[in-house]
Amino acid sequence: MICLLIVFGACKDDKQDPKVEGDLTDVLYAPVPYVPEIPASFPPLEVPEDNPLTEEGVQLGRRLFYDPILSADQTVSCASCHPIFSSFADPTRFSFGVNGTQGNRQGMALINAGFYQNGLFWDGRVMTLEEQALLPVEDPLELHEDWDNVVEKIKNHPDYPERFRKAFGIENVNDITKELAVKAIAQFERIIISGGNSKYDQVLRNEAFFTEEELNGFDMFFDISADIPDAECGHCHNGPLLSTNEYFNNGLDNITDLENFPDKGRGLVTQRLFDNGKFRAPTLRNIQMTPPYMHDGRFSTLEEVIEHYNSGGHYAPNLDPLIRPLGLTEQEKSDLVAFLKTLTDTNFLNNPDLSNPF
Amino acid sequence: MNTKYFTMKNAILSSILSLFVWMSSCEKDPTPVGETAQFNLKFKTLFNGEPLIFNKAYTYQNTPFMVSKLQFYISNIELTEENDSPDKPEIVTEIGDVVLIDLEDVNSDSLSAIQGKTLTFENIPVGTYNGVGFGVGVYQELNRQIPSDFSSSHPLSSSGNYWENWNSYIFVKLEGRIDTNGDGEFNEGMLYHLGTDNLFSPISIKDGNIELVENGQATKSLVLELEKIFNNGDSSIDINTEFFTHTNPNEPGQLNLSTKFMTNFIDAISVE
Ligand code: HEC
Ligand code: HEC
Repeated sequence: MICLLIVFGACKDDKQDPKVEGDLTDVLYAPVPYVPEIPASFPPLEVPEDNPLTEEGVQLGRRLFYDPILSADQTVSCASCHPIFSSFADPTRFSFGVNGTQGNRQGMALINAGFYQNGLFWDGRVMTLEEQALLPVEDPLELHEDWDNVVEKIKNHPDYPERFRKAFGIENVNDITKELAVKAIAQFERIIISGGNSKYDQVLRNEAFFTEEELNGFDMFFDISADIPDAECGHCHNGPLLSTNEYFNNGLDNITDLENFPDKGRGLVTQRLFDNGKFRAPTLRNIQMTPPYMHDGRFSTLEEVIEHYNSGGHYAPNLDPLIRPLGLTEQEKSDLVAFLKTLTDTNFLNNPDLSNPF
Repeated sequence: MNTKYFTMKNAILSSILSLFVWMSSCEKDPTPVGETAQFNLKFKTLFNGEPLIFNKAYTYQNTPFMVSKLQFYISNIELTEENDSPDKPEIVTEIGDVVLIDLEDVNSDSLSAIQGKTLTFENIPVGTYNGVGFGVGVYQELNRQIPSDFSSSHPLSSSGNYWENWNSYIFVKLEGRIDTNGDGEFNEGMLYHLGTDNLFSPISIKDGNIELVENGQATKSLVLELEKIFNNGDSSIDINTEFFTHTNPNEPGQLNLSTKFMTNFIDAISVE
């Protein structure tokens, strides 16, 4: 015991006077585990062992997410393209990044992204949120900034160094790295959880009833009854996340050859010809809040989406077999839209940890 | 143990005791720990005797088609052993609970398609086994679970392989496209999704010795012949009209087609 005390004492002496430049050890490092509220029906939230959720980490990530400090000209933040009011999806078709450069894909809703284990982005080119968060900063279409500059700005910031200490226990300002920054952002993204209180969830728990239209839409969506058409939707958008997170060609593009897709999507990642033109089937939770729709935001309303599926899409040798003319009546189409609107759950808007902290 | 408050000494004593109990129960086991081997189960998919390649045009009874997906669950995987006396039941060694066999990776090019897909089962007690058995699909008790019960590395975790209406995993998926009007375009989607407890189908392959010696391995190679899934006597499938089923219990036509498909699928599996 006594020896231990001596060692501790020695440590303290080292750090006191003259204090090393950038020393943060005066700030208490005592991270508190963050326990997110996860709807009962959801799968387990898988968190990397080296990045457990903490109150301090989540709050730091939240700040970085909303802070234009990550962009070259201090004008764009993650939240510019992923604003909370639209379920963290981009309401603009192709958002402008820094300097007005325009992207070519639509910014997807970030809700429940922590549960997706089959690849992120429309094409699944990264597997983890940590990996993902590294990319927008240097993407010329997005934040167009150098990570070294960002890290430098963070180090010289009046508030961030202390927050990095509290979240990750670093001892010196110079220990701030982009890896820690993306860990914090990933922690914040993992708590962007939505579900459990939509009308759909309530009906499944027998706490509410669908209207006749919604019920009809539900039956078609999930292929429940033999008397009404099967709209096939639930085979690709299902489970508690309303997404299989698998990759399909749902017939959007009229091409003559598998090489001709304007955006090759999944094929860019796997380098397989037959994966060209496939994209991830995204969640339909809060879908009413997240127009425009599809990887290129080509549809601005849910009615247009249903019209597309009803048509059977464009032929390609890799068109998914579930995409075929559905023969829905006008009433049936609007019933499907009515059902999709029951998937909206705005409870996350009330989660104080998700809103803009500035 | 009659005291509720464990002292350090008690705790050590009890763990020594339990260790002892555990060791002695091990000793009763016919196969002492250590003498194990590896068993491999190999699947090769053929069409007309050639390795099946995904997304390649084939013709079955004059109808062009191609396969884009073939996957199936096997569960309750076991090796069987004869008992000393023939009137006693066989000894069954469970070697695996459930595996999803997705042939996409192996059947995308001819080189790997010739190799087939190999499942390995480790730490199998050594012995002379007379056969291997498994069920195609997910056995009933396990089929009451749902994808959210599992973490993402588990074969039963994907919601895409589960169908809530049936309360069942999708045991077999065969998908592709088919040219039903001969115009050169694969105009129709081909999709067979089989599930529900009733379609769970055990297979037992008893073709003699599987010799597992210490630290060694043995392989049983099976083939699945695609044309036999379509062509099987009374339960043959006319792919020109019967190319789509979700095994929807509310649609008797689908259930009937899926039942035929499963019968044929089992018959299409044999020892290489
Ligand atoms: C200029 C707009 C823009 C900015 C700024 C931006 N994003 Fe995105 N985000 C997108 C687009 C577009 C996609 C889809 C890109 C793709 O699929 O190739 C996307 C996709 C994502 C995804 C994938 C979600 C999923 O379900 O796969 C995550 C996570 C994400 N962004 C997080 C962030 C973070 C964190 C930041 C800030 C560091 C950020 N984004 C900044 C436009 C933007
Ligand atoms: C074969 C699988 C499949 C089926 C069946 C299917 N979808 Fe999709 N869905 C997808 C894929 C893949 C995407 C993304 C496509 C893209 O952006 O290129 C998508 C995108 C969507 C989107 C846009 C999501 C967003 O965030 O932009 C909506 C809405 C949608 N589907 C609704 C439906 C409805 C309603 C049905 C039934 C009528 C249906 N889907 C059937 C695979 C499918």
